[in-house]
Amino acid sequence: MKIPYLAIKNIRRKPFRSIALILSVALVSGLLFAGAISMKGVLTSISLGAKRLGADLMVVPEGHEDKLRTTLIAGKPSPVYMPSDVLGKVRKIKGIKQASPQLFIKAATYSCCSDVDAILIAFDPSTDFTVSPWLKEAIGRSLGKDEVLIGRSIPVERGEQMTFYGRPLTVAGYLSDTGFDYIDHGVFMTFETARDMIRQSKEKAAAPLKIAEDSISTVLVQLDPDVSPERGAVFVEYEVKGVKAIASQDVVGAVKAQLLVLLKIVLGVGFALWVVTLVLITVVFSMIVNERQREIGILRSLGADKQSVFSLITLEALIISVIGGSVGIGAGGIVLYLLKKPVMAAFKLPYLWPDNVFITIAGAGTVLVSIITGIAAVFYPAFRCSRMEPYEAIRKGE
Amino acid sequence: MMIDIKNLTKTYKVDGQKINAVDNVSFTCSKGEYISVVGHSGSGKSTLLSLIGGLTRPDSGDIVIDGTAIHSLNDKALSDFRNKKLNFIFQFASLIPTLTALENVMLPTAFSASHERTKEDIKKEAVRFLETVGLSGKFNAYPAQLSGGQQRRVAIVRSFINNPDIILADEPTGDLDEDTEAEMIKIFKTMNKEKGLTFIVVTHSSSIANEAKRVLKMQNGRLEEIGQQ
Repeated sequence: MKIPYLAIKNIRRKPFRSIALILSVALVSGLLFAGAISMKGVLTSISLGAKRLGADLMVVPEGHEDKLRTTLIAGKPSPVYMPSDVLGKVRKIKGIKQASPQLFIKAATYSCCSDVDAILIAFDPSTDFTVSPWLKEAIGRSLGKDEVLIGRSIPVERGEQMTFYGRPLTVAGYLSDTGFDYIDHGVFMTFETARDMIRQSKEKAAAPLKIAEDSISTVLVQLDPDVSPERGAVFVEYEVKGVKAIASQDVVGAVKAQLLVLLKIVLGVGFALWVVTLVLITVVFSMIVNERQREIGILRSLGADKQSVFSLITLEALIISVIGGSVGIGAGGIVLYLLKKPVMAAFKLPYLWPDNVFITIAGAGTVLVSIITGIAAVFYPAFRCSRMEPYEAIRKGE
Repeated sequence: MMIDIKNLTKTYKVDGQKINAVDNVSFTCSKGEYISVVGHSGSGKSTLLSLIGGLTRPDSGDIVIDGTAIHSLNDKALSDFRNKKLNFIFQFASLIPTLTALENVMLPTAFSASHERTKEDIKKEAVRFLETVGLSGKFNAYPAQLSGGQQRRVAIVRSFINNPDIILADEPTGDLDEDTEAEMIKIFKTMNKEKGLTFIVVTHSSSIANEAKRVLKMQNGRLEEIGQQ
């Protein structure tokens, strides 16, 4: 028989009290774990998105910049339009390295096995630098007429057909998971395919598309390295009338600002719960030590030294903390998995699961915090009872 | 000479008043002796026993057991000393409620620094002890499932598991009926005669006191020898 065995027996002595302590630790660790994973998920998604988006500026029709700024990150791009000659004007501006147009066609629902929201977007594969980097596997040729690239949230395999506005389109490839609805739900096609579909919708679709022939929704711009996004935006807005240039940093900044609010809420609640748990464990273990004074005196009379008594009490807290921490991680993970979509949608944030290394580190860190909490909370009661003279402990416990 | 106590003093402060629980006590006890300590409640008997057992520290004086001045030892060494050399039988049910009778008997071995016996040997010995005191069918019973007398018997055999040299018993039969008391005295006498264990028994019971070869009386913290057989 060893001290860990005694600790386990003591924990099992009052199951309700032990379960209550485990749940309180689980609550804090679950919140911490879910918070860490969700924050990391959003940050990964934003940084990956901004990196892969590759555009320093997004030129949009004036008056629609606020709507497009947020919807690009977390929603469906609004079908706003401007003349296609904006592209030519932008390309002529000094400091512009690349410019590629996109056309946001009205969002549609695609029905196969289930209804899936799809965002129809036309892009120019010859100048594109924002969609192609997301390709899961290179298709080895240019995208043909009536072919599309689709995001990961659309459950259609390569080679299968999807019909929009009466026009069948063949899936030529699919894109990696990004966490951005704009890409994950995107159905990307060439301008030629898009124009044909728009024209044909007047005859074949119940609700025809009304988009002018020469319109585009945005011009995505990559600047020369020596031009800052802020300066580039000023150049564009000065040279081209009726447009606004959104710097991608602004988009990331807007999301980060939203994230900061969420982070403050999670940290505030987490800290409050942590303090409550710390106090709760300290109070409960002080009670436990008082209840068991005679027992502790008896253990000392049988040869337990101060260190053994300290270890016994600390070990009880440690076991409760590890179990609570593990339960919290499991529960936090499940809750996050179930509530991820509605929560992120409510905050208009993109989301990508962090990699396994981060999840493992976050899990280990959470258990470590739980252990530190347990030990810190129990340190004083354990120290106090270990310092008690055995005879005094026995007499006080009578 | 096994226990040598010189000028032992222990005082307490109760409501700001100094009380001499043990007042300049000296006596010696040889190996294998059976000593009773009698006296009124509050005379300092239990405090004396706890001082001998190293459960509390004296204000002054020395306790030397087998050549070791026990209060000069640090906590670890004193705890190890308690674990190996002596054991206590208290006036109350002193079993750990979360452990079975068998586990309670084996409990002192959990704190032994060195393990000369295997776990199996310890278990066999604990079983044998419990059988000796008539608790064959109660190995896995928890203290709450045992009668007061049975609990006391478990506590007694627990005190023997580490083969100590000295047993310090503080009112061991205080709340027991006459039959159980007689049974316990029998166990004490057997262990004293057959194993040569030294017993110092604090008691109110004249029958237990009369079993002792030496009877010491505590009065207001002072000790006097009142009988020797």
